[in-house]
Amino acid sequence: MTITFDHQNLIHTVISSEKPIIFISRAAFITEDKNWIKRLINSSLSIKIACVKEKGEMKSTSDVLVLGSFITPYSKLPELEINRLFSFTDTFKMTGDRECENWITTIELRDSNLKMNEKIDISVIDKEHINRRLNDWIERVKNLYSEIKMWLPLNYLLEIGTQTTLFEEMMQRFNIDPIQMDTATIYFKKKHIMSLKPKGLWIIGANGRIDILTKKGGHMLVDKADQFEPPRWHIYKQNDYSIGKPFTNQEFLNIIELY
Amino acid sequence: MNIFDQLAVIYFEIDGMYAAIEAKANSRGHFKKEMIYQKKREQNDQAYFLFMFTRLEDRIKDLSIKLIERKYNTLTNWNYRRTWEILYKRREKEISFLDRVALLTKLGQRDYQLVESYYRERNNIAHGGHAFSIPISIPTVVVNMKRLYNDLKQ
Repeated sequence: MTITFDHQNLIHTVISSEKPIIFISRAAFITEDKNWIKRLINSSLSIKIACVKEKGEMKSTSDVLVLGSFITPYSKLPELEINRLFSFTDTFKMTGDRECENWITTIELRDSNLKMNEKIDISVIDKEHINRRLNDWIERVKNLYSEIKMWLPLNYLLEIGTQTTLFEEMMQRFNIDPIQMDTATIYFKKKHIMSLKPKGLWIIGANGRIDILTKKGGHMLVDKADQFEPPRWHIYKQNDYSIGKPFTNQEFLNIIELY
Repeated sequence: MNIFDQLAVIYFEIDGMYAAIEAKANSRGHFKKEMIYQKKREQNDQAYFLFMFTRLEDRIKDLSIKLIERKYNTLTNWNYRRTWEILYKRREKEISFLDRVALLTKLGQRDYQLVESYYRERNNIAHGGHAFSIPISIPTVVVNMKRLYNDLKQ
């Protein structure tokens, strides 16, 4: 999710029924200004999480994140990598979390001095985003199995195999329970020839990895598409790892012929 | 063949052997053995990632020292030279890794972020935190490391 702040919109508020956890990944300064002079952008983000009931605010926690960047003609659109997690810290327990009817998250940009044609985009990851990515991953894996099923020649069979657990760092950070992912097994005349096993979603430089395991070794399927984009599966073969090739019907047939 | 390709060849040999055992265990329903080899492959990913990162780390240190020495030896105007004089004294040991990266790439931009994410991963693996289980895609890492190794300029 991207929150855009400009000279008129300096406060962003979200109400949720669940205790919020937010991860601020980056901030980007954007301008349409063409006449550049050196300038210091110096502002801060205030992040406040409050528990509310009918009577009003019962408890809250807040933190401030300082944003600073020196803008020069050589670096016109600076991006700051923030990567900080904000969650509710229970400093006092007069009101239990279960008593909170709602949670209000307020993100405010302070002291920004933004001009009319300038804005700051803040990239935020919340629990909803993580769940969306998980659902997208489950869907992509399922669709891949269906596609492979259609590619299979006569006498080959794909069956859903045992499940593998997915419980990655991002899930742990956002208090999301482990999930079970389907693996797939491919048989030739009832003989097991390979398994497809989802390995992980949050991978540096890729949008998920599935391992192809055979009795002669392994290959990797890596989705090179951006988040929420249609998948671009590439296969890295054990003996030809340096060139990832698009995973097509023909590539798949070349692999199963080996086993 | 460069060092990353050499390491990748060995990595894939080992990964292939483990993958074969994992596949056989899976087909025979030996799930405990399958899990053991799944874990071994993850640790192999992490070991080779660390190995590759040390090569990149050396390259970044080397290039940053050369940059500082060049600036120190060539700049005559004190307005420009003064920062480099401070860095020159610290060039061997007293500059943090990410500051060295920032000398060679634009702070906060694509290459910087990529090295930073690898550095975070390296620290997670080296210190064995809860993030120890982050999966690594070695083929992608090899491509990126090779590119960074060649693209980073003093």
